[in-house]
Amino acid sequence: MVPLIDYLILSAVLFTIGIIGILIRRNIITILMSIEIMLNSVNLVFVAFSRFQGNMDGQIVVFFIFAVAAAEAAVGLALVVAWFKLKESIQVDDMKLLKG
Amino acid sequence: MVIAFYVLGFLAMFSAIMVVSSDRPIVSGLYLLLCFIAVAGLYVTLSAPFVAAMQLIVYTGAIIVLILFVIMLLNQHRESETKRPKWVTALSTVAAIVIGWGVYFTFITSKVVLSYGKMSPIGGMKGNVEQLADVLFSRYFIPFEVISILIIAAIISAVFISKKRV
Repeated sequence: MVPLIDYLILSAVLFTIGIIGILIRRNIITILMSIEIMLNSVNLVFVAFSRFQGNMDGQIVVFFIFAVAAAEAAVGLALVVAWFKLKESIQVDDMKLLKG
Repeated sequence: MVIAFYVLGFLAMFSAIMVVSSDRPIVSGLYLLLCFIAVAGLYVTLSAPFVAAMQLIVYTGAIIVLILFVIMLLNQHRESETKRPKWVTALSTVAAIVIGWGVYFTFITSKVVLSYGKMSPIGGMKGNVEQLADVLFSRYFIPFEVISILIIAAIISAVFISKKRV
């Protein structure tokens, strides 16, 4: 039987990989993918606690996170498309309109 | 069960590392698909089959397809050479590992977490959907309805943002 701590360690590793991806990639689509990895690692923690404690509330929260992740992906990718139409680039280094 | 956990866990970690380390967005997208499938398998080992099915439908069926469509639409082959200095990348990797180590340290020193050695006898694979529906449509009914408003708002705003300016 796998103890709870193993699931949590796996989730912490996935979360760390997501943070690394957000910080080192310059492509905004890959950054959105890293955010999805981080959301998945949080979902894993919720489902693991729900299973080990024996109540269903964690799995309900995971549904809400799914809905928020879908909304975030839709709006984020729409913003990427709009930005690409404006500047012909999806590199975050080029996004400096507010820099002055 | 233990073998399934370790195989799926290493698959998820490997594909997540490949998502981050590849400089071609289409390769990252396909490895992200593998990562989501591995996490769905981990949900099955936690006896949450309905959440696993939703993961496959929502993430691999909708979000990955959306991401791959946008990559193909924008025609991005390879990330261009960065203007950032090397040490900034190295420093941000170290900072990310420090943040993740904080999360890890919190988990391994928590007495509450370590007290859960094995799974609870209630809430098994059998009757998972019924139990979920009971909780969802009684205590979490209002949030469930509010989520639909959120999705409508997201759809409308996505269409409005990406449409042609008049």
